[in-house]
Amino acid sequence: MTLLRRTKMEILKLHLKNAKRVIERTYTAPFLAHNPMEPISCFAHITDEKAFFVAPIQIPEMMKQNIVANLDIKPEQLEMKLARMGGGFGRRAYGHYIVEAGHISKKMKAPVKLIYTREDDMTNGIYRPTYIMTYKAAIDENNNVTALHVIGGGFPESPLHENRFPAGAIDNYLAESWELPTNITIGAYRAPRSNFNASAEQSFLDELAEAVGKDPLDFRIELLKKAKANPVGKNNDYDVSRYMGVLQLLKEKSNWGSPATKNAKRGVSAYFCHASYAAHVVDVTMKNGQPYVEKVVTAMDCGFVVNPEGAKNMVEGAVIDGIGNALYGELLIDKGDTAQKNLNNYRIIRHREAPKKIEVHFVQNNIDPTGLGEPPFPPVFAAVANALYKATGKRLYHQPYLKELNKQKA
Amino acid sequence: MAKFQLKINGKQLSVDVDPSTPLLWVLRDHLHLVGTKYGCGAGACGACTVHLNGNALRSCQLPVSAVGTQAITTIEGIATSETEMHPVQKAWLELDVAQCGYCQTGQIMSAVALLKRNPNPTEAEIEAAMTGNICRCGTYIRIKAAIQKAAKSTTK
Ligand code: FES
Ligand code: FES
Repeated sequence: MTLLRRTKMEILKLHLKNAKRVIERTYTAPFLAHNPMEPISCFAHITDEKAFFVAPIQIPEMMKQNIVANLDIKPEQLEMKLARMGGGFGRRAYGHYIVEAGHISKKMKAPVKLIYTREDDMTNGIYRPTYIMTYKAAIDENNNVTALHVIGGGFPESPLHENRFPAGAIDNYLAESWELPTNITIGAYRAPRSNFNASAEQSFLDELAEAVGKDPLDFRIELLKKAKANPVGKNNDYDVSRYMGVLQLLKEKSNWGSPATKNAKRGVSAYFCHASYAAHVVDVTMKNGQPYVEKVVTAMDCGFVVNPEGAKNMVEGAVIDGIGNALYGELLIDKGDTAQKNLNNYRIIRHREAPKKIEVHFVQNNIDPTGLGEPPFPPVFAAVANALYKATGKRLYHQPYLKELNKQKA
Repeated sequence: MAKFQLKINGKQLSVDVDPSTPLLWVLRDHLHLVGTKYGCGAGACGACTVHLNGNALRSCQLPVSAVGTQAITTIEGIATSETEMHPVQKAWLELDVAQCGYCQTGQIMSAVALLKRNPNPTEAEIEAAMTGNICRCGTYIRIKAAIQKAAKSTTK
């Protein structure tokens, strides 16, 4: 394995050395707090006979083992009821608050209702990790991309999905990861890892398309055609035809080439994760130096759509969440504490910042249904960045993009 | 502790609480009117919106001692009658606005107050009136459409 990797690296280096041009770009993203609107909550009542809990939790089975282990009770004493759950975005995958409520009830010998304040949640969160990714591409004299090297890393995990597009579409491809430990508590956040992987990858592809003089949407389709006809490597984990399918549907439905909104500039992006395919075109305008996403056209392939209205609503929400986090989302750590503690300074997208219109188009098929809460979210970031490049002439490499835009202006 | 007589949803209700208790927690913990939600306790999210004399107000910011004889309306009190929802509630259902639903009490209370003082708001007026209400699930487009729908149904 080591030998194989070294060889790959050597070949790659050779390509990068002999290339007509090499483009290297580094992308970063900050910690994010989930900030579910419904606060973290749990009811616990532990007596000598019984341990009774009522809580909204995403993975109750996992929690049961946790409770038994942490509270020193027997599995048969445990009774757990699930409460209706507000949007969690990953925050309610972790049940530390259930254990906490249990401990309090045990000590107090009383029933306990535990509700986190917003400050409790934001300062003791399970944050989205901070990530870094560097892409390096070799371009030959005929404007072909001959090699691609990507290194992804983060605290404490890498965002990289090494076998995803453009793996399979580029002859000499190497994807590497690094990870550094941190004592900041991190965990799953809507489309874990993908939420950053997509933003870096799809921003870089956009820049690459420009470098070789191609339309960014056609460039992606061309790469996919190559991956279909002549795939590089055997472990590529996406279905090339379905990936191409959403891009083709998007091209048609968005009238690619002619922005729908007056004075708007467009950006495109696509991604595969959680077994579904998503692609967006966003229309961006600048008003008094502020970016606004006016309109979004989305193409989705999540297999058979069971509840079309619910599905549409879910995609709209993911798109709005993506725009918000791309432009504003940031949790800073300062002297061992979070700099943001409540919604007065942690930015979540609001009414007037939301797009006026989101059009959602589903690929019609009878394939078993797959993910929808997560897949439309990751590709939003790069679509926004790519449109902002068209609107401002500035490539954006660091999230949140509004901060980066303002920095470049200063 | 001190006793307060509150006029809520047309009824006189009495509570015995610390005078500094925010109205939000009086409603939720003492009167069990739990339709009103907590999101931030800092006036920054709108989840706790109720009406004070018909105007939208963040109940997490108002100590119960400041209410006096003013009329409070909560989400439990806005329906047209026992059997008929408020036009804003109807529009919400027709357009399938909610996702998790947690913010929607506050959204609806802000929307009802807006339409009361401005029965036919422009898009920009809706955005301005609603921008204090965060929806983490991102249902903003549907909220706006539902307000427009409710406005049409009441002004025609
Ligand atoms: S809870 Fe009152 S504004 Fe957020
Ligand atoms: S519907 Fe979930 S926060 Fe608005």
